[in-house]
Amino acid sequence: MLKKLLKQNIKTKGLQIKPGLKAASLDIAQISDINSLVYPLEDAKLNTYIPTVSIGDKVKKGQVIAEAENAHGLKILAALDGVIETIDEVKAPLPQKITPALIIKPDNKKYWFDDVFFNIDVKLDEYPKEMIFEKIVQANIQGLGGGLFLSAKKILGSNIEHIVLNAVECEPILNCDEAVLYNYLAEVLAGGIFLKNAAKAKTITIVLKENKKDLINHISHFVKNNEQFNGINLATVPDLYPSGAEKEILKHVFNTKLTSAQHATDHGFLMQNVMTCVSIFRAVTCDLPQLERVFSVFGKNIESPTNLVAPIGVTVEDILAFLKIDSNKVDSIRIGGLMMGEDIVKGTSRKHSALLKSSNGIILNTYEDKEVSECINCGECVKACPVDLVPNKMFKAAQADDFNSSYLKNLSECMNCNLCNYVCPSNIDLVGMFKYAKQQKAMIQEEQKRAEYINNLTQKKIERTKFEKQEKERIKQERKLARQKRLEEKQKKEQETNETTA
Amino acid sequence: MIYLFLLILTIAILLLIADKFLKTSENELVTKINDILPQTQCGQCDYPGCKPYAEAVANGEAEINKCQPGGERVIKELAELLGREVLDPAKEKKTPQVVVIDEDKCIGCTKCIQVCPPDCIIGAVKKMHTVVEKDCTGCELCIEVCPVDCIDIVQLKQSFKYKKVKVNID
Repeated sequence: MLKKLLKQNIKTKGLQIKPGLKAASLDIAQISDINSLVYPLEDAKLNTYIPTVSIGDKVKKGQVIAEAENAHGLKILAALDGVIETIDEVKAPLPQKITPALIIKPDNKKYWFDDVFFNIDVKLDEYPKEMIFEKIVQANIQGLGGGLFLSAKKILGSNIEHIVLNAVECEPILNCDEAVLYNYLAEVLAGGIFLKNAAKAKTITIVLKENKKDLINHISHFVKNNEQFNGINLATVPDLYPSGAEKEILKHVFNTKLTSAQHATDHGFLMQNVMTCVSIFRAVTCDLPQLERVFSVFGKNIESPTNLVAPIGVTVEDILAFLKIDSNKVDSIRIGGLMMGEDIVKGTSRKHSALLKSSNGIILNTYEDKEVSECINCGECVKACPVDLVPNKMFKAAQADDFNSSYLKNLSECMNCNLCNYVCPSNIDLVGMFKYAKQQKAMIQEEQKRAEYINNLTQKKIERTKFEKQEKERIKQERKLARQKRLEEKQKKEQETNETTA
Repeated sequence: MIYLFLLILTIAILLLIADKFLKTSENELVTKINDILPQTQCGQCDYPGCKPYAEAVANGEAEINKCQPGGERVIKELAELLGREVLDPAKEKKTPQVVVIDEDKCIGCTKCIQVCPPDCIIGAVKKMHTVVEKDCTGCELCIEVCPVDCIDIVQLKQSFKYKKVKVNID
């Protein structure tokens, strides 16, 4: 009975979001003309990058042009041959702020994507584990699902047992992962097998939304008919947002609940987005670095939404030009998904706005200026929250800067899914407040840590000066004694000489 | 009647014992206050360090708003601990900064080394001095004592900060 109850409890929470926009076709088009590539020197996780090239330098495709200042191993690679034109300020969409960015002018405007296909005669198990790892590191492969975690670091996690290929794509309307699965299924699965071999895992599971029946049939058929892929499992999650989040998948499919401090790798799971698997396949078999990604372009009044493959850093202007959309008629541009992306509103500068490595969509004309009003304590956000937090109370605690409040204790569980913002009838930006609170909390912690450190130094100095003083005093005393001794000896000698002369 | 008297007696004895053993001593209060203070030992509160200031606060000699590096957080926590009123900071909170020694001008007098609370200036008599930037708290104590005026303040780059979301309340 209890078990049954517990099992019911573990059900995925979430919402079905139907915004009524046309989804992109499942063919992947290639962008053709590229005028410039933009690489912001700061990412969504606030890591800053330091350029390793200077203005005017010629760069080659795949060359490292910037390295992260603090997070070890993160790099930015140039996606095309070209010249570093300038370092200009860019309004980076995640989070909304101004950052410097490297701007590359490609030598050749025409772009084509080097397709690499899986060859059935190749035996995937023959690639040695060390080589796969080495090539993943070299290709600078990061998780394209949005987390941008380094894949190589995930492989190094101890005791990986299950590889999970995430194709859930719970953001509404987006279908770039689906398009990748239709177009590059063999490559995705091959990438999965490379991961399995590199991490010495036992199983591979590919997770999909349960309403995508055609895709499920297609994959199960393909897996059955290809000997190399026989052992790959299929699992489904309900068609809800945010059921594609790592923790939600583990909860629903594997009955494993993670706390906020834990990663999937701590429980023996290695989760990777399907597009990342294609990158891994390309890196291992052909030494190609991760320079491109597939993303969906759609929006209001867009007649032919498309899935596109383009180099990371391609500007929105180039994308619009390729799709023959008049840039003047586009009011707002959202980079990322409908739920978690961020808008570049009409009126703000769109200069150098570009595709980031983590952007899975470019969404046009969906921004609405909503009037914000006070919280009426309706509790919709509490009902919606997939991780069982109390957003309305948390908002008020953060508003009062009461970071010790018990409501903010589990703040780190919040994954910025934006569901509370979506359901809020007062249009309050709850998640924006939580981002602020998270940062403040981290800052307070850091301050305390530093205070401890400085206090330690100060105590040491006090001890040191005390010791120095004592030593000085001791030496003084010793000298005094020595002087007295010498004086006495002198007097003695004098006496002796006096006596002898007398 | 006699039971009641006995009961009162035992309670009185218990209370006396409790008072003796569970009383927060002056010392404990000082350490509690000291733990809240940021331990920069900068002396900007007009006391020679964090602990002396903590003692002064515990004795009721000093206001709780004098710690400049601690800012509003420290005032709030002190007010909560001591049951006093939350005051506005006596001085404005500075942006993060460090000091840098102009090594060409330095004559090696060791005066700055002696006053530096976290001991983050290295050097010796008649040898060039330099600041370990990582440990510098930007307390500016070294600037005043320098006879050749070779220490400068450098503002640190501030990282991006999320703004607090505002909801208009009419």
